[in-house]
Amino acid sequence: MPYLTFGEIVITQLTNFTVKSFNLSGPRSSLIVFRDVKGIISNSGFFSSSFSNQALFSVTPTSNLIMDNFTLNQIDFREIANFITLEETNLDYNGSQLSINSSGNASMEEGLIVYRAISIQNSQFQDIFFRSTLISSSHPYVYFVNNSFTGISLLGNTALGRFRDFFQDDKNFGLWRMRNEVDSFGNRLIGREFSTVGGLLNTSLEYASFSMFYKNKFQSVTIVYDALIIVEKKDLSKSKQSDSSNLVLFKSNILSNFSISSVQEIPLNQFSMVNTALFEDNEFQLLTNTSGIFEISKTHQDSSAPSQFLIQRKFLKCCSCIFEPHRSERYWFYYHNR
Amino acid sequence: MIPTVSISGLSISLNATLFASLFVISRIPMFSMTDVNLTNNTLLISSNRAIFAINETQNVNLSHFSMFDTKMKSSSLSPHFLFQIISPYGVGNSITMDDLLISGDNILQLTKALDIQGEFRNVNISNVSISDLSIVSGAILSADMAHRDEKTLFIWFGKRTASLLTLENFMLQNLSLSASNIFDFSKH
Repeated sequence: MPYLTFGEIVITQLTNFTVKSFNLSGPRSSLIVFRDVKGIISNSGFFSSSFSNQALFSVTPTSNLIMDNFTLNQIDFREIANFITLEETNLDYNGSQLSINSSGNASMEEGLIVYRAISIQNSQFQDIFFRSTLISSSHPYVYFVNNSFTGISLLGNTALGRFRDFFQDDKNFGLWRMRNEVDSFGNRLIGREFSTVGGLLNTSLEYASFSMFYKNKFQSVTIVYDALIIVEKKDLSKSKQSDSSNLVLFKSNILSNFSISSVQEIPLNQFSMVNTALFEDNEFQLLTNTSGIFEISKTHQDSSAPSQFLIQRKFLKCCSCIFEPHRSERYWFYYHNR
Repeated sequence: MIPTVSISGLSISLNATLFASLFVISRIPMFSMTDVNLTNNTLLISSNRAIFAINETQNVNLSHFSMFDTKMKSSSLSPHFLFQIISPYGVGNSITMDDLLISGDNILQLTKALDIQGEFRNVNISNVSISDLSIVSGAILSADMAHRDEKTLFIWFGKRTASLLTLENFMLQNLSLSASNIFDFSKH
């Protein structure tokens, strides 16, 4: 079971769960709530509804949320309506968490991560309208793998996915080695999708956060004045380790047939507080009126930590790309029609 | 102690005010209930009361439950329950529910259809169909999982044991929800 992390003791699995045609009203609430409980949702979906001021899912950053083969079809998210949103939590974490010690007994150990991952895989989003951010999360580990977004309309000053550290509490735990880390039960902490990109990563580094967008398709997207993805991560480790690595991997994604109502001054994808960015084998087609595809900024402007921005470009059909430094430690990747 | 209680073939049709839970099952190791039907009920229920209150029971099995044209309303501002299952302690406790149907003109106000609190090893709910249901300030399922104390938590974790809720084959259609949850999962 992927992402089983330290001290995770309540797990919920939803399988073949379908909701069709629902009417939501009243004060803001969420249809499905996970508070400190791992959620695994597979072969499920929501269909044919419109609503305001509500969320379909809310989750605390201490809950793993894993969606596999999820379908969202013909949903109109009106004002202040979200697909996944954050539920505020008072995280009073003293730095110790339940684990299995070397003698095989349960004990409290210091410095273990308490924040979890959000993963959306093999899922379909079709004919979706939204005016507020569709997916908000403060999980440090974000995995979007092999998803299809078709007929997506971003109708406000918003984003499809916004991932940032919304809670400014003490990050009282150590870094995550990721490739080698196992949970208390000896299981790897990362899912299968990691094995396909693991070779790209520096195995000697420890990571504070990891945002991976891999093999996603964004097709027939209408944008008024929005971004697709915004990632802004704070260091999750203790302050003395402030140069820890925040990693973004954007690989083998396809963005095609974007209809943008006016020339956007904001890039489609914004990654800030990043010190390692790996972009590879992405395809961009017919992105009319888009002035920038990526904006990347470093973890700390005054940081001495090394940054690694690796770009391998692959552009198709009437496209060219210009890479130029916009200002110190901040890079834009512009897209121009030929 | 009575080891097993089984109820089969129960039909409820009431127009009533309930100041206490209608059925209370306490400290029964094995409780099973099958072929239960609620039709044409109009119920005003006191807060924290339930149609079926099940306490400290190690194994709960419910199958073939149906509800039609039932209105449940709370007599105060606190919720009441269709089913409430509480287990303050028990490493091996389990709940199994299968074949649940809610259809017709059902209106639930301040109602949690299923409320689960406490220590459970496994909760399995499968083959659920809900249509044309209206809920105001309530939930279909609320589960608040907890361990009695830290010592108990260490025992569970030391055995590599987690509480596992498995919900499979749910079809929900034409729901009207106001300030309500379909599922509310929490741990404390």
